[in-house]
Amino acid sequence: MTETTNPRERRLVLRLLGHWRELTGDRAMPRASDVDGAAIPELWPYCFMLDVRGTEPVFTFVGSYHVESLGHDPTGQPLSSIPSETLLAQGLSYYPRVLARAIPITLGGQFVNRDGRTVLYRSIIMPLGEGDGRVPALLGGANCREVAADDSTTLPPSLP
Amino acid sequence: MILFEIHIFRDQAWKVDSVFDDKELAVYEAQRIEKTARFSAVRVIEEIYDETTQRTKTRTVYRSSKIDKENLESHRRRAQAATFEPPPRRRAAKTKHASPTLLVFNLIVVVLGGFTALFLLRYLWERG
Repeated sequence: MTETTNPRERRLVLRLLGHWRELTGDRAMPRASDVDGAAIPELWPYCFMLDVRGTEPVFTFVGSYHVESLGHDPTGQPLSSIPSETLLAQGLSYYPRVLARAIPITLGGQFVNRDGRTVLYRSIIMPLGEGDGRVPALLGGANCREVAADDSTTLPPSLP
Repeated sequence: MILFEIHIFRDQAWKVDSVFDDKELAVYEAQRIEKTARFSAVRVIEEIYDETTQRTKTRTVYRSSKIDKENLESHRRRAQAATFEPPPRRRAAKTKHASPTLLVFNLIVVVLGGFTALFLLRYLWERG
């Protein structure tokens, strides 16, 4: 992946979306097997993958950033096992819209974490599949920062 | 809620490529897509959903395409050309076309002249 000095380009979601586009090529979307964390080592800790073929999404990969934040690795567990006041749960809250439209969607927002601190976050969820209209898997990424007491910002303008 | 959809023109139709809740990100991504030159046109549509009326208002906040650029370039060239005085055209020399009547008259004169010459030669031959 090409490095750039543009601060906007450094945003996780744009860089991850750029990688998704590279993997997509002329297809509608890349396959889950196309995703290789070694190709995006600086982004991979913030990423997650889910299998959405069943009744409930199941984590097939969770990056180290989220594992540390949660205190455990939820790989193999359903999405519902994740507490709602976590970045992973908030960042995946709109996954049904990605499944319905089969296109990448990125949203930002804020929530109060388990420590009672307000957290600004931005996430992206992208479809993975054979390009036959079905989306059997999702690739996503999310990062966040806590709002300082004197921080008047209400939206995440420049997350790393 | 305000969302920004990136649309790409592909296979003779507009298709939704991705959705953002941040205009700056959406426009930046649209420009990045445009640079790849894979699609003939890219646009960003702002969608404002009014929960009270349950209606969605849309407007284009960014649009760029090769076609637009070509049109712009064409307009620019035409405008530039209009500012210069065109060089004076050299008059093409008029080609004279003989009228059919004149041609017939000339032919008659030649034929009559020929016969006259023949009669004159015969007259001289017989006298001599």
